[in-house]
Amino acid sequence: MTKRYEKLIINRLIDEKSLKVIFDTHFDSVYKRVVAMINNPLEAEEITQDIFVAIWNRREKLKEIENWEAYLIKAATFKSIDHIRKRKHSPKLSSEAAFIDMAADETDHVEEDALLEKLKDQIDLLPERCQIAFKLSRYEQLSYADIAKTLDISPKTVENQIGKALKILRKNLLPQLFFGLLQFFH
Amino acid sequence: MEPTDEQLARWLEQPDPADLQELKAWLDKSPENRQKWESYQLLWKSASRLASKTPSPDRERIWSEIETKIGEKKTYTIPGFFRYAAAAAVILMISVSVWFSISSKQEHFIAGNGPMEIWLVDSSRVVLKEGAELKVSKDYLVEERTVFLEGDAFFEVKRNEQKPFLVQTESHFVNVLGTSFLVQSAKRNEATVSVFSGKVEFGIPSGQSSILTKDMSLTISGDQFIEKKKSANALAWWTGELKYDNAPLSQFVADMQYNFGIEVKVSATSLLGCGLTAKFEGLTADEMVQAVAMTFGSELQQSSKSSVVMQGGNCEQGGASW
Repeated sequence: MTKRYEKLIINRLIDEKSLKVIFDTHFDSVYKRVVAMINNPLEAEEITQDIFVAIWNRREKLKEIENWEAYLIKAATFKSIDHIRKRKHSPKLSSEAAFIDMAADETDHVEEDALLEKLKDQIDLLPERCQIAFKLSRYEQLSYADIAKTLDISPKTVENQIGKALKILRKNLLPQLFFGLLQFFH
Repeated sequence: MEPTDEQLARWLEQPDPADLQELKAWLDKSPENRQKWESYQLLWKSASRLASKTPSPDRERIWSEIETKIGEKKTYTIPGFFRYAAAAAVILMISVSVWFSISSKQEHFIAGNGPMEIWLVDSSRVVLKEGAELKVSKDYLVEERTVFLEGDAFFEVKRNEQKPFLVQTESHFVNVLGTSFLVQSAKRNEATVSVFSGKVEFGIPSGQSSILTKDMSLTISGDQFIEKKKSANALAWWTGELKYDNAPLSQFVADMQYNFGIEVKVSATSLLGCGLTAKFEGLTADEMVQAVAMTFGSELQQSSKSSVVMQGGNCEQGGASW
């Protein structure tokens, strides 16, 4: 199915119908990537919309795209990175969002491991580069090599950033980790 | 010895046998090491459990919102016919990030891959050089016609005396009624305007300005106003056409760098002063370089993706039409 519609679109103007097909086929993976990276479902919806609107605005330029999945995932990644960057400059908004998130989560799984809750918040506070690499590794299960390819950086840099992320997380979560480890062994 | 952050990260992901040996040796050294490693493993596993916790959104609603947004767009873009851009299609994948910054309030165009042609609602045309950005004010045509430019662009403005067309760059402005002109604003505090037809006012918002007419070119650098002859080849990145009338080879080298980002290194520096007379139309940048090398009897070596070396050669008068 994928291959056939992609062929259809090539060499032809993208009309609203074909945009819908692209949307239907790739929405899930695009949304999944965005929400994994920015950890806020509402904002993730908006970013995902922007990505498809951007295709529409650039439809003349995009006729040569052969692999829409790869293209869109890359767009989703970079759009999210952009968002994380901007969020840093408006701390009020981000703490508000974090608050809403936490409240929603608390009602969802009251007895959820304390470590997981804390961990999620701490991951969102990581420096930008570590945060992105770490999320792609843990939330999206990408290998270091794939992360390197997605972000156009070297695999060494990925190792370095993930190592840094782990060091920071461990330092900030030592009490919870200690508790978690106790449970681990009993 | 304590393992580095990188080592720890690698051990968690895909350790090879050598890594495992190192890990084991380190673990055996002390209980503290073992505890540290276990806390890393716990972090590693816990973090991946966080992934699956998002609810599925309402696709239908999201699609209908996209439809609404699409319906509101009035301006549209048409890609350049420029064939060089087609060869660079692959690069598109890499540069997608560049243009994905749309604001709902104003149109924002970024030429991430080759020149980009934009038609504004009043049929004025803007051609962005690769890397340039254009923002079109949401009040465009309502009040006046204002656009914001970063980098270089060619403008063809439809005449409208009631609504002057204003280009703002970081530190300069160009004010026109209807005309065609090229703005080069890639450098900080320096901009150049070259007029192809009509009349424009070019200046610094809080300072002086100057009126330019057809074939004039003015560079404002700091508070210096420097008048020049309009360069014939400054728009080759869009037209693909280059013309030389006994110009020094160094000019060709500069033009290739500016228009196509190709670095031509000439091994014999004496060659740089040689006169070149040529007219290129419908060739790719690579073909132009080959043609020039042939004219001077030089050998070409590709030294990297965007850089070639012209080896040897001599000053036989090069005059040709390609």
